[in-house]
Amino acid sequence: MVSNIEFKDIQGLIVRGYNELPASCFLLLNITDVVKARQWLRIISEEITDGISKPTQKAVQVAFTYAGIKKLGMGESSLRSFAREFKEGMTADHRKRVLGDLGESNIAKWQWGGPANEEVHIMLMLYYSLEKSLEDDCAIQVSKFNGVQLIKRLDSNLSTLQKRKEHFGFLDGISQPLIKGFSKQGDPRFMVEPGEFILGYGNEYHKLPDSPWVSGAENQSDLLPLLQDGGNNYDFGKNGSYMVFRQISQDVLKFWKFMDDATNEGGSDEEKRVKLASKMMGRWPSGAPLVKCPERDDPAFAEDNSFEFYHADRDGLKCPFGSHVRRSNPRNSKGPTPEESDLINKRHKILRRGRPYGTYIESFDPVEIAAHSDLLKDRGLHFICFNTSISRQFEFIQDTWINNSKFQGLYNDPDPISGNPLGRCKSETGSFTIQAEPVRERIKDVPAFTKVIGGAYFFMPGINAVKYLASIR
Amino acid sequence: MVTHGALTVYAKIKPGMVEQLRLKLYEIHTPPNDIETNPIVPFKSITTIHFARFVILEEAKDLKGNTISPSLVLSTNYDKPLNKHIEELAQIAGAGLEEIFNYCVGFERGDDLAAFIKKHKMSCAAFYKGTPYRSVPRILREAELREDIANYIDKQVKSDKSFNAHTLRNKIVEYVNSEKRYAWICNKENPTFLWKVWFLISKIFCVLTITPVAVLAAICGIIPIRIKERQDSSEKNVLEEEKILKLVNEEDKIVQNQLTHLVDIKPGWFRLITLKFVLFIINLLAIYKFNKGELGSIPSIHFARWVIIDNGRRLLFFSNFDGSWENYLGDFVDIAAVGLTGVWSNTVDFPKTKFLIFEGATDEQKFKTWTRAHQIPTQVWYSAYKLLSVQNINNNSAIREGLTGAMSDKEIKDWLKRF
Ligand code: HEM
Repeated sequence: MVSNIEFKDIQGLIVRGYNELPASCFLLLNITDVVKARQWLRIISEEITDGISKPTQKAVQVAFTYAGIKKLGMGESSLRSFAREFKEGMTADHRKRVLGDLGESNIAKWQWGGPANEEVHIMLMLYYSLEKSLEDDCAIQVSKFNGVQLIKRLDSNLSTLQKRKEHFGFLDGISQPLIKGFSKQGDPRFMVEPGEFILGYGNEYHKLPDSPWVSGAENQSDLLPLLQDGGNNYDFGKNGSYMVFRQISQDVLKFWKFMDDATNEGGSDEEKRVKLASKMMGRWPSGAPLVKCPERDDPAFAEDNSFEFYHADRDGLKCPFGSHVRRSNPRNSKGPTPEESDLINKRHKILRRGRPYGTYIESFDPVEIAAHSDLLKDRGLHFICFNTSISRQFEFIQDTWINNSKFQGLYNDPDPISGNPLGRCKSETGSFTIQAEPVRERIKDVPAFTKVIGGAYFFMPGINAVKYLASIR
Repeated sequence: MVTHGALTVYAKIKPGMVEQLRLKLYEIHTPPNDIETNPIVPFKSITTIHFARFVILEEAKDLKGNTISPSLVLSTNYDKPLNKHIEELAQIAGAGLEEIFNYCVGFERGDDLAAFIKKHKMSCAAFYKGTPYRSVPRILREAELREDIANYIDKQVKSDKSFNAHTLRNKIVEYVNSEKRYAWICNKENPTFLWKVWFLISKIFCVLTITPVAVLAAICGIIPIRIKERQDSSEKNVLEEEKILKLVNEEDKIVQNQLTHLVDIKPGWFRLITLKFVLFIINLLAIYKFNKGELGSIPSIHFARWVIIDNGRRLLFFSNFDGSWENYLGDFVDIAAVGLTGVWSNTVDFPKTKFLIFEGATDEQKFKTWTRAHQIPTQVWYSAYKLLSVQNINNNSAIREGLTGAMSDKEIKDWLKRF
């Protein structure tokens, strides 16, 4: 199949996760001088890695917040054409209930992106094969800054990344949507339209996703294509994508201590502990899905993603309804029929590109973890995902599936891994129900093991659109 | 057995009184007051109310350019009979309601409140209920019962590892029977046999008479509808950021959300008749088909109603649903697009349709934009059970039913899954 997707204009991170480039850092920037910042951006735009190259040494990407694009000088009417979520930003007051940014995750406590922090305009994302080149090159990049100022540098960590583990000890980055027109193809039933992740292409409703545009009068360059709606506006969004970035801190000790307390009947038992944690995750530490091996971990299934819930596990006896993997992708189990569920499910997909940060404590034992010299350092996930409709994709997953205590007929069960029920149910803790026969087991007072400590909605434009921003006068 | 009603009181606001009324309504739910216990309308004490709202319909122009003066709508989803409900309203919130209706044309302090409400009551064109036969007290009682049994199971499972499904159910039944406070579980709160027979007969009658009429109407209507559709101007929905912010600032505060939606009906008698007919059919479907907690497979709607107001000029829609607006609208588009398109394709600015029921709502972005464009702020909104989903409520009833009578092994197994 010849693909009509313009990979040459799409930023590479949307196309691939750069596993070969494990050393990375994300630079949060604030524009101090617009004219200089545009000049700097023009230089950077030549360095951006596109979606065709398969870099083995280095990759560079750039994304902007709404405030950033505004600052760069895009006109009023054009600015209005961005999605409402993006314009309002992640920290808009009403959004905290949707995203669960309350309590420990309160935006007032954030380290960046919150109301108390400096305004983020640009994120420069750098990826390298070696840690040494990261250090050297990052310093060069910073020295070249002109008209922009570094607010914060976010590093991701190699030790977890090379094992592809997140900090609770589970294999991550297994399940991704398969996108039509991309090189990796699979069962056509599960192939998702590219317009769910990249603007300018048809989405799962067979419509073009709403795309930000600039008016003909404003567009002085020939960098942007005409918008496909018959008018005289130019498609700024083409080949771009909305990027959600959330820094989620993980309390590894609290997590394994809780698992230990909940399973400790006359003695600490690692097998039971890991099993409970895996029930909450929906996969075992190796990555093996619970649906495939409900009783114990089996590394033979580590990368297995060919499972469904409706036929194999309708009652949640293998993989609980409330587990992270089942609720962040219910596959065919949401109804009305399994076929319709598969179809509807494709409208709530995100392309995950997150990376862990902080040093890895490789242990499932709370005593060992407590004694670890690195315990007090912060660790977690730089959660990153791409989508063309933040409200229908990322926010929907976070709110309707992850935070929702009522998911699939449950009563008081938010996602134990990344949910926060404070928004609607006003409770700090939830329960976790493990469906079983003759009757379920219910674990009460499950606290939050993660908290959000920073974040923002970004737009990652196509490469020509970045050049357009640099060309604004 | 209790059935649900939808009370819609529509009253014009006295000239120049809109802002004062708005302030009064604001007072109801604004600290130090709260919606449940405020002295104006202490909703929690009114035991016949499931959901209630006050909405101001701002001054507007109809399609011909005539002014429609501002009005107040009070809506409740209540436990029948209506007289008892109105009586309770007057008894518990009489003074507050008088204060509020005092801003409305035709009411002066000291007037008979019940008579005013009855006089200004509008009938709905269609009414859907997701938790049929459950009164408010019953919903609350059954929720408490479920929670208590769930805790009992937790304890039981810890202390005795050797139980099986059969013994566990016996223990649960025994426990509940031993608790005096649960004596009510034996009360008959579901439709009686006789009622069911009557219901079935009326259903058969309905299917037999309506089907041929509907088919005939469809045959006669299809060509004029298609002609009209092709003439429809393309939709022009602009979102006012300020209004949207007002809407979303009130959303996602409890398990449920509400939607108030007001839109002009397309001009001409043909559209009005079509709309009335479609709503008539939907109303029958809501009574006879979608009466088990799902509206065309959507499991999250507590109540929804359509009311045609202003002499057929505008269509008002109220609903109370679980979860987010995004989820609700998504369900509409993904599961129920045909039905919704059938209704709202007769109103202005709706995304382009084909043969009345096709396309339209399946244009996801345009449909959502249209919905927000015609959604209006709800000044006061109350839910009697803000932590219960439709699925929870209906599951609680099924748990309660499983406490009496004999059950096969398979039934016991399924019943235990409900915890
Ligand atoms: C620190 C917080 C989080 C941790 C530790 C975590 C961990 C994991 C793990 C171990 C998997 C299974 C591996 C895989 O299928 O790739 C997974 C899958 C997934 N997670 Fe998370 N996650 C977190 C936060 C989130 C958030 C905030 C979201 C979205 C709002 C999310 C969405 C997903 C999705 C969509 C999948 C794929 C499910 C599937 O397709 O089967 N996760 N996560």
